[in-house]
Amino acid sequence: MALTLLLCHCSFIVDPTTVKQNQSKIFAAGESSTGTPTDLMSQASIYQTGVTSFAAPFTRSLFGTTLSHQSSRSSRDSFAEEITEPTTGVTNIVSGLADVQRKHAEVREELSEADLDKIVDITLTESEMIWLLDITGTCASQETDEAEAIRAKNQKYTELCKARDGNDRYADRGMQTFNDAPKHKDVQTAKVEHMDAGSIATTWDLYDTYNNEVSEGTSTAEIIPEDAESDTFEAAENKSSSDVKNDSMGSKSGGSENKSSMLTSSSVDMDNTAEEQDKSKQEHSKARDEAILESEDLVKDLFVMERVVTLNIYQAKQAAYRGLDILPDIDAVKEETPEEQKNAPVDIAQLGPNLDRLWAYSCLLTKGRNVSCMAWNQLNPDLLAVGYGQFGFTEQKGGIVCCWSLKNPEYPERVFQCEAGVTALDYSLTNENLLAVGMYNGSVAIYNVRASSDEPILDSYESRGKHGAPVWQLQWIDKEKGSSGEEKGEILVSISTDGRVTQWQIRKGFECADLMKLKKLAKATKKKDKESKDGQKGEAFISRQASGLCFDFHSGDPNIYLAGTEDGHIHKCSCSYNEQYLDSYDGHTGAVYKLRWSPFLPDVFLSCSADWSIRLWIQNRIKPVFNFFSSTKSVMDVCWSPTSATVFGCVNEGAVEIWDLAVNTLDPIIVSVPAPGVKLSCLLFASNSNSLLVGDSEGQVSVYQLRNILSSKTIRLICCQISFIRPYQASEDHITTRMSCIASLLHSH
Amino acid sequence: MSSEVEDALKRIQHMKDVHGTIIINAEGTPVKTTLDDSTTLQYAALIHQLTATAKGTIREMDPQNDLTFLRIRSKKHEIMVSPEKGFMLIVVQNITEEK
Repeated sequence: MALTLLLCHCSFIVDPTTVKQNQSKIFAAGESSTGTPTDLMSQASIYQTGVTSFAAPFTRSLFGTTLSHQSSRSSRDSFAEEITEPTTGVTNIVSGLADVQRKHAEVREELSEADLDKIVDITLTESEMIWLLDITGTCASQETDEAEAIRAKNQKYTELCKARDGNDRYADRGMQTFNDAPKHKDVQTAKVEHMDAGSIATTWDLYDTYNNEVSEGTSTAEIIPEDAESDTFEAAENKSSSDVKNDSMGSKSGGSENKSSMLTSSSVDMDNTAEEQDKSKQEHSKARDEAILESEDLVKDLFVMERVVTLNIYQAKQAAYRGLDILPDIDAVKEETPEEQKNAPVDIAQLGPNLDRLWAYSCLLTKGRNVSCMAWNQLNPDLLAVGYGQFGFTEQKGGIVCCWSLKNPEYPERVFQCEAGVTALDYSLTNENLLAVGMYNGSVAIYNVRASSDEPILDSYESRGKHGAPVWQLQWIDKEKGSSGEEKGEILVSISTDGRVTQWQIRKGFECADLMKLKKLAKATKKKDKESKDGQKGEAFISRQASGLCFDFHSGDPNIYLAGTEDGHIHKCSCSYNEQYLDSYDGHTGAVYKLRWSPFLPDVFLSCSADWSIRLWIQNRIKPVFNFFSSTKSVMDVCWSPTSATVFGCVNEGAVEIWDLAVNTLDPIIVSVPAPGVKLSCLLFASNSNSLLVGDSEGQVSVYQLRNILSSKTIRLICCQISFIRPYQASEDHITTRMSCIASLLHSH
Repeated sequence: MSSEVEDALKRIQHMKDVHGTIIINAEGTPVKTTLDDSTTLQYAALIHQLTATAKGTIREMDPQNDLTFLRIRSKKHEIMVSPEKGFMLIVVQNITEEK
């Protein structure tokens, strides 16, 4: 037998109008109970039939309780926890019942005839069932051992129920609960921390996150300082845990200990005290800062930044170098007065040919050193290699080679320190990163400009055939067909004061072979004895070797080259013959410092020497065609212009001179004198710009722009000039007349 | 600090019209500077924000792209910023007047 105390709580408000509903509900509940309807009915009937001896104290107690409970809803609420509506409960029902008991009578009195006829809407809703006590009944088979016992028990129980009414054993007793005075109790909790964490889901953030997930497994532990955003975000997200962080959202890869410890220190961590946190934070930030200053990226950035700042400073000059228009800065404050503005544009056009100094390559490193040679890079015509070395024997100090870039005239890109003064330089044609350097002590070294080390990749120190005297010129020659028939590719040719023209090859080591031993020639006193050997006729020599100072290979035929000596002789030689000269040119009375084939005319070459002159020669004429005397100082360097066939530049110790044969063969068209006390030492034309580079003894390489130089008709004119010369026989006496004829010819065109 | 870095910084600082150079770390606090404190802090904070916005703009258009250099030219100065992963290099140069 199961005892079930069912409660169907009804949603009602205790007021007269709904009491009828209650009544019906209770009845309905009673009918629909699935437990023991008899019990409920009996209860209901007990209540209904009025106050009985049994029920009265019950109801009284109920009443008391309900009265007391009506005031305080809390106990009702606590009793009936799961009930959604607060106005219900056991006591409520019971009270309802009790009220019904009382109010039922009251309502009956109040009902009028009209009310009885009214149609009242009754809403029946099923409500929650609350199980208060559920002792489920058990059934046992009649044939079990315990059946007898159970039957006996049941029998006993029924008799007990019957005998209960008037039995002495059962006494009714009322109980009253003590209503303790309510007490207020406050509980204080720590303030609930609220933190707003926001994130903007940007496209790049998503991209980064996906990428990081992919590369998570293969990432190496790097100490990567994080940016502020991810730091604070992670601090918000990972407050208490201390071992997370590798897969935080939107952050960098890495899982180094450093990183996680940084995060723990920077996050709001309950374990660390505030002091410890600060200390570790400081240390870590210091370490990070140090790391920044050591990083490779900073070096790269500084490099770029240097160039950017330089660009700002030199922008106008560099634009002029390139031949671009110089645009005025529209934001610059204009301080010119109206008078100046009128004068300025007129002057430039009226000046005539002139040199405009743009800037100078120089830095502290090169100060005080003599510029001895310059060479352009073959691949990138903006890169310039400059060699610094003293010319005199007594002034020797170490030499350096600086590779300058057009983009930064204030500091060279590469600096190579050499043990001896640098006297010759050349960039390779085929391997553009190889730079050959010739030095005052005769050694030849090859540097790799791309490599970060400062050591030469090849040195002639161990070669048996190395020079014993300063190497004055170096040139890389591209030989398609060498003298022995098997050489292909580039060779390096050098000439030095010890009288040998040597070719170097990079095969197993640094191999060298002599191309020519320069022998001294006696000065031609008689026409017949052009080549005298052994000193039988003419001067007696101490040493048969002539000192070589310069050479130049013919651009068309790489087998033929010219060599200039200290005696003033120029010899035409061939790589096939290393004993004899093909030709000797006689004219200079001093050491020949430079020889240059003309880039436009295949047979014409220039030479400059210490006898204050520059001479123009044609290949098949022993005597010079033109002699240029313009100063009383030895001419150190001469160079043809790459754009004009008749323009060449020369530099003597005191001035830079630009000659234009189409204009004037007696005087240079431009003479530019540098600052006093500075001796100029070498000259180079720029291939990609209308500019000229001049090196001086103070370590500066000045860049000048050539302006107002005519260059259009020159090729035609010089060809006419040559054709007129050829029919004439060379005679020293007629030089001046010939020159004037040619001059008149030129001017007439 | 490596000598290369020191030399390069010195060279930039002594270039014509360079007002100052600042290196700030990833959070925007200056690591090395040649200007006075208040100016440095101002520059650091403002440029940091601006660079972040610029970088966000570039990457928003194409996440595979990235900001490599930022130049702000004003009447008086030009601010050149080179942002990197963990730091930022800022150089302020006065505008040279062309004549």
